[in-house]
Amino acid sequence: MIGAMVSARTGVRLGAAALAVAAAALLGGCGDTDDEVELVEGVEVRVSAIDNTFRPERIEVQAGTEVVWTNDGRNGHNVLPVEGDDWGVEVADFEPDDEYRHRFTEPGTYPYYCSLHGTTDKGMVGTVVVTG
Amino acid sequence: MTRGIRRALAGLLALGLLAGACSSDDDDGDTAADDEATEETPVATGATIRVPDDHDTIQAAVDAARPGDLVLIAPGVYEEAVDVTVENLTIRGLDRNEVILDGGFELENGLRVLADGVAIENMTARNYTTNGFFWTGVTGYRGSYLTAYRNGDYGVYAFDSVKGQLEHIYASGSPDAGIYIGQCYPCDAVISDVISEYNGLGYSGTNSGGNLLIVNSTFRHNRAGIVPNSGSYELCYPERETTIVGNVVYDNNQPDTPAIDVALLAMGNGILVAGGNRNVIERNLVFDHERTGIGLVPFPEEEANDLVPDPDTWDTPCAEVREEPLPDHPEDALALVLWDPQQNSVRGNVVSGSGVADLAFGSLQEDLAGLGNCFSGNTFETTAPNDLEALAPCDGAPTATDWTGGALDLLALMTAEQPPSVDYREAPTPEPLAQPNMPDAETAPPRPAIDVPFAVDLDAIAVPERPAGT
Repeated sequence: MIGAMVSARTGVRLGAAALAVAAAALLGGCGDTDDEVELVEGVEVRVSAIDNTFRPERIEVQAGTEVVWTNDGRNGHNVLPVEGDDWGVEVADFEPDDEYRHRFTEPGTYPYYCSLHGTTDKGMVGTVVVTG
Repeated sequence: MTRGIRRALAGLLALGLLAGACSSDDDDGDTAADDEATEETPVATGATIRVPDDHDTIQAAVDAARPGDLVLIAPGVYEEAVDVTVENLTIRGLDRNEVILDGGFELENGLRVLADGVAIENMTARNYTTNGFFWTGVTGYRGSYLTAYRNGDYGVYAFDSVKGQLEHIYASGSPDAGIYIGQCYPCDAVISDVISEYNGLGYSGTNSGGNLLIVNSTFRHNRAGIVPNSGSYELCYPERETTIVGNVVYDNNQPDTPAIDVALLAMGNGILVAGGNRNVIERNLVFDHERTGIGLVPFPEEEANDLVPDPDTWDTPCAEVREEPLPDHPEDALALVLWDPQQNSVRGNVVSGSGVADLAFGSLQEDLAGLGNCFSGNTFETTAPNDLEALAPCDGAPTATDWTGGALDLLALMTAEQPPSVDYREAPTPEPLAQPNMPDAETAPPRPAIDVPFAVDLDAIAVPERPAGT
């Protein structure tokens, strides 16, 4: 399922991302169990899709974090998961200045790519690592 | 001739080039992909894989190839978007004008290369939604005797790639640029003997440079000719150290091409350095432009991702900055970032017939001299500001100080309305004339892009003669 999307650039960039990662780190020890993942609320981490790179390419977030991709380039891009199709955004909905949001609730490693400017493992690729 | 014999001959022909690879050419008659040797160190075989004799599609052939092989393509129209992930291939058409990859306005790229050392030779790519020929993230690339026309982004596109050669190329009908090299420093690349026309930009290079040469080529009938430029929408900013020598650049005022916004902004200029730095522009013949023949101007980037880096950092290789996070600047500081042209050298060019000025330099800041650009030894009629060679000589002290007389009216130029872009699928891009074939396409040995760029004797390049009929 494609998540929520808006067409507004907020200007809050990787400073917020750094804070979010720090928050995630601080919250990381709260209530982890083998069977249950405690989700953080209201935490947002931003990834900038410029031409033709995701910046940063790799982020590590706490489960429950909403990752926000912004097309800060001049060209259309897409964000496609390497495995599955339950998240991601197609190029028609990710033109310059568009945003795409997805909240990651399950711990794991989520590689993704832009099919216009890369393949699943080369070119314009990125990774979201979700910790429990 | 059996495939085994062809492979043996190709192996012999390639021996001189690939001898160091200690080839263990398999002689079982199978293509390399049958061997499932993916876990082993790739071995250059120099085998020839033919399309469609050995494989019906180009994609199947390149997937079956092993490093060092030659993929040889027979005349035909191939409705494919090919991804190349095998290193050191040579992919060659038997006839440049008759081996045609056609995207049908639906497929994205004709040939997209994501592996090092791949050379593409002697073919045409048309009607792709993004690019005709595209290398990305590679070390070693070569495009020779290629025709790319009516593609939706770039004709020939080398991005985040180093050690390259683009030569004997015809590119037309793309809204961004016919030929583009971007996001590399040092690029270690050469563009030579190309013709780029009826594009938004003849050449565009964003955030590229460092041993990047554009020589002995023709840029005409585009919205703008040669446009090195900077911007934080790609990594490795700013653009710097491109050498532009011995080119013919004329009549880049074409109003009915496809065009991105930068091409609209740059329209009517021959060589326009838009926020580029430390470029060398020498011995070019530039004529008949509605605005400037050779212009140095700022590039205005709205809602930028970063500010202009300090010149002391410009010699930092691209590889060292790509992992850095975007800095956190106040939003208002990023609302409009002006990339000024700095420390460019314009010498010995012959420029005429410009509507605004043959030589021009402008900025929105007051201290133009402080930007360090220089002009000397050019043949021209007009400059903006007046007496530009006296204001900013490359050698010796200035002999004039008034930067206000005849100054370039940047605001008027930036806000002037231009003819709108025409959809690349519908623009009146002329069908290319038959273009020269590479020599000996049938018999020449494979030559992967492991020996590029080729050396250029810059000192031997003179100002070109004016083309007949212009």
